[in-house]
Parts: sequence; C-alpha cells; structure tokens
Amino acid sequence: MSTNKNVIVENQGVKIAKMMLESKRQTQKEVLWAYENDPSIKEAIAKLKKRNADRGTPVIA
Amino acid sequence: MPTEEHQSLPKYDFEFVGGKFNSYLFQTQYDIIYEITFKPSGYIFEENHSFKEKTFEFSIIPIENPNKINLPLDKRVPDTIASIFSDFFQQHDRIVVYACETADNRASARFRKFNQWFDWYKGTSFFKVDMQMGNDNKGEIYFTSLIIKIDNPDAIEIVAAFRQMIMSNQK
Repeated sequence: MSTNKNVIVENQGVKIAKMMLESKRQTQKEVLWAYENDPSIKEAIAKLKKRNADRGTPVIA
Repeated sequence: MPTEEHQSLPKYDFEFVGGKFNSYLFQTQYDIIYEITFKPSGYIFEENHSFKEKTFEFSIIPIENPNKINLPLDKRVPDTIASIFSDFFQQHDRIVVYACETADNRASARFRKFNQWFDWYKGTSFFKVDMQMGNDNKGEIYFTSLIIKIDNPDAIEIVAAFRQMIMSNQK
C-alpha cells in the first residue's frame, strides 16, 4: 500500500519572506540580550535618559 | 516630509548607538524605550548585485517598559521613527527592507499601519515596493516591503532585483 504525501513546494518569495522573519526574530532576541548584557547599550540608554531628565521631557522641539 | 493629512508633532530625542544592527534608541513619555535596528541583510539579493552590502532589515523593538503597560498609541513614535529613517538615509544609496511579523495573525494590520506611516512621511524623497506572498502550507500571507530614496543611482536595478527575487520559481 502506498502512502500519499503532500509535497508542498514553496515559491522563492515565501522562502525569502520566511528568512526575513526568522532574521527579524533573531535580531529581536539579540537586541533583548544586549539590553541586559551589553555595556555599550546600557551606557547609551543612561546617556539618553540623562539628557531627557535634564530637559524635563523626552520630547525635543 | 509629512503630508498635509498628517499633523506632525514634536519628536522624541534619539540616540544613535550603531553596532552590528545600526541601532537607534529613544524613550517615550510613557518611559518605554524602543530600539530601532537596521540589520545588514544582503542575503535577500543574489551575489552579483553591487547593492547587496547596502541592504538593511528594519525592526522596531520595545526593550524597556518599566511600568509593564500595553504599548500605547503614541503619535510621537511614528514621527520619531521617520526622523531616524531620515538620519539613516543620509547615505542615499541605502536600501531598507521590512517584513511584517506573522506570528500573531496581525500581519495584514501591521502592513496597513506601515503603509499609512510611509504615506505620511515619504514626501518626494522615498519610494516603496510592496510584495504580498501566500500559498505556503499554513495558508499564511507574508508582507514585505523595500524602501529606497528616489535619487538612489541603482533604483531601477534594485526594484527589478527585488521583484525577481520574489517572483523567481513562482509556482
């Protein structure tokens, strides 16, 4: 008895779109990791917060 | 430059961090910190294209939300992202690609929002190509866009290559 298998061939566009999404999810993971662990990100955030605190608002004219 | 339909607000201050994702940071009035990334993404084009190295994937990532609130509708955020785009595109020949997240079935809503944002800010400087693709085994529809400056010297070739990349082997 033979088994029918659905063979789905994805087109190139869908493959690329999936690669882009996977890459985006990977970026998100790395960015969140860096937020916790990367001193340069911590330093940049501290700098931004200080500037906003000194100005009294994060909004610039 | 914003169109007439969109009333531009004062923007949030932002900080360029750089790094491997060409990151920018800004903090909102709700104390949420967003990181905007432009990750090198030449892989979407074939090897022989000279503009491969100028292609970047765009993401918006909330990295700090101390009050644990749902991300509010904040009209300054799109204005701020438009400013960051302008800053990133100071190198006129850069290419930005964007893919809408599909994981929560809100890809089409994101795509509409992204289009609205682009229409507000494109002015006469930017040009966008959209591709919608479906037919995978989950019935998912994928939305991707490519943005370049109108004065990009390789504009015609880039658009053709993007289209070719999407359309090749189309069943």
